[in-house]
Amino acid sequence: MADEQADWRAAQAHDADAFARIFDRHRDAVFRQALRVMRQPADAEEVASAAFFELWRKRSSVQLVGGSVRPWLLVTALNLARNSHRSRLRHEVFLRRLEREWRDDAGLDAFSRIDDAVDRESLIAALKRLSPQDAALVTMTALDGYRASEIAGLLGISPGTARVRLSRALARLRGLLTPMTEAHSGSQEVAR
Amino acid sequence: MNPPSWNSGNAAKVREELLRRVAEPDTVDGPLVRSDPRRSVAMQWPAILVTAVVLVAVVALSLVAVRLSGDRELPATTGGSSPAVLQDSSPPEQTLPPGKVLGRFTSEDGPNQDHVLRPNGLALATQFICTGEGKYSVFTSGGTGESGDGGCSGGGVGAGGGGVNGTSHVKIRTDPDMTWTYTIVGFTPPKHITPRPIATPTTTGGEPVPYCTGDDLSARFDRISAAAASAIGYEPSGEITFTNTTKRTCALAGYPEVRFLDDGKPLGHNTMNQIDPRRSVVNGLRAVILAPGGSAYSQVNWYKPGDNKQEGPCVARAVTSVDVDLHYDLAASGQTGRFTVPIGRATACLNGAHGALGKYGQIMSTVFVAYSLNQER
Repeated sequence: MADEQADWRAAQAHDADAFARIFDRHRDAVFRQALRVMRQPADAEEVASAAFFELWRKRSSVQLVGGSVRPWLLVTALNLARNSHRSRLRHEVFLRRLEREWRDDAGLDAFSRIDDAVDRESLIAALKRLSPQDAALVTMTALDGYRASEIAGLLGISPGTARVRLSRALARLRGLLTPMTEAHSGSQEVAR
Repeated sequence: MNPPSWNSGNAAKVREELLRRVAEPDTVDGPLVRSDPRRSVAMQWPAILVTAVVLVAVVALSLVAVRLSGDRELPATTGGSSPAVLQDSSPPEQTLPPGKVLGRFTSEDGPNQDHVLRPNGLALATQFICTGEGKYSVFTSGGTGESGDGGCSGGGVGAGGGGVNGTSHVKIRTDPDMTWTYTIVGFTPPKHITPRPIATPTTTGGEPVPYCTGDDLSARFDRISAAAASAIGYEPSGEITFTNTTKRTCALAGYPEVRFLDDGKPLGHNTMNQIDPRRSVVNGLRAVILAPGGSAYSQVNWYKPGDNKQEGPCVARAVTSVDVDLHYDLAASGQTGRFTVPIGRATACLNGAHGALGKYGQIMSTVFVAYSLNQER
């Protein structure tokens, strides 16, 4: 990640090429994170865009994890999705110019299952019921491979607290996902 | 299944817009507060004291201005968002470090902004920086003062006091095309510091010495050589030397107020002094005695583009002279004098490398220091 640290320092000093490398390195991950909590891909695009605008706006205070800005972006994307009204308002002028080209259902189909073994709709519904910190812990550890202790600082909690909260959140998430899955398969059996 | 990637036309637009913003030169975004490792914590206290005095003065003046004009109420919000509540996450009883940023708004928030701020018992100081063309007004009510209004023509800076305690309502009205930042900074009122009375300067023989007036002195600016700078350990921008041109002995105490001039008009508002606590009013004022022909100097520093680069952006401006006021904190002493001193061609960061308050200001001056031939009380 030494490269990214150098790129980030250069980007902070207005090196657009360095910022482009950072954008390209993380755009898909940030978009995926946004898709985990926004039903409409167009909304996810807004959230992902706002996360990158925030990265630039808050460049002086962004906390790196393992030399990377990615965890900060992922947490920020979740928070932006949560507070979509207030936080995205900041970038509204630009975001309004984006095309809502994902509105058609054909585009949506490609994302019907974004992560293995979890139905997208169920995951979105379940994540919404977790606190923002817990949602970040769950998505970033389970789906992005971060350790809870690594991202604890970003969330403003201690590594120990992060581990405890992650295990509780996972238990809660399991509880939230299981009945829905069962109900789903049950209705399938009836159809058969 | 391959994970989805973000490669739509919108992603390309976002990328393009981001790179445009990144490539823009430094404006006013970025870190506003950072402690300067070159100066000890102890040295901050006098600066805070001065800041408090300035703030009280600003607040008092603005109250008078409000009372005089009477109709300073701003137009109602047009299409603005509902007030956002910015509250510091620290517990109310906690003493925050000076310079803590309580709120920050930018042009990205839109031209008309209403905010409710809770300063947690701390005084507020505010700074408005703009680039581009247009008018702005910033109004802080519910506290004790207002921040000001003005025009922005290719760059401008405004500053002022804000609320103390309780709830402050901040209204920001700007022209839509202006780029601006409004920062609200809190600091701890230095309640436990009481300035001591100024002692009458005397010679070593015990003879009382009158304070110098402008008529007694000449002033000149010297840039500090690279060698001298390395001997000091960091690079000051220069020294202003005051020479007693009369046949009588006089005294200089405190520090000069220095600010940049542009066409004879002061640039910006954040001139602050950097006081050596061993000599400052806090520990009892020490005067420099100037025999006929004797000199004292005040070192002046400002941030230049490229200084402390990692600390953030610089609103760079060419400057050619400074306004020096000896009267500043010594109104009671009779020490007077005002000089316009050419400083050659220089470039300064008008926002300071640090932003809004105190030692984070645009130009700093030290207390008068005697040249070795002169006596010090």
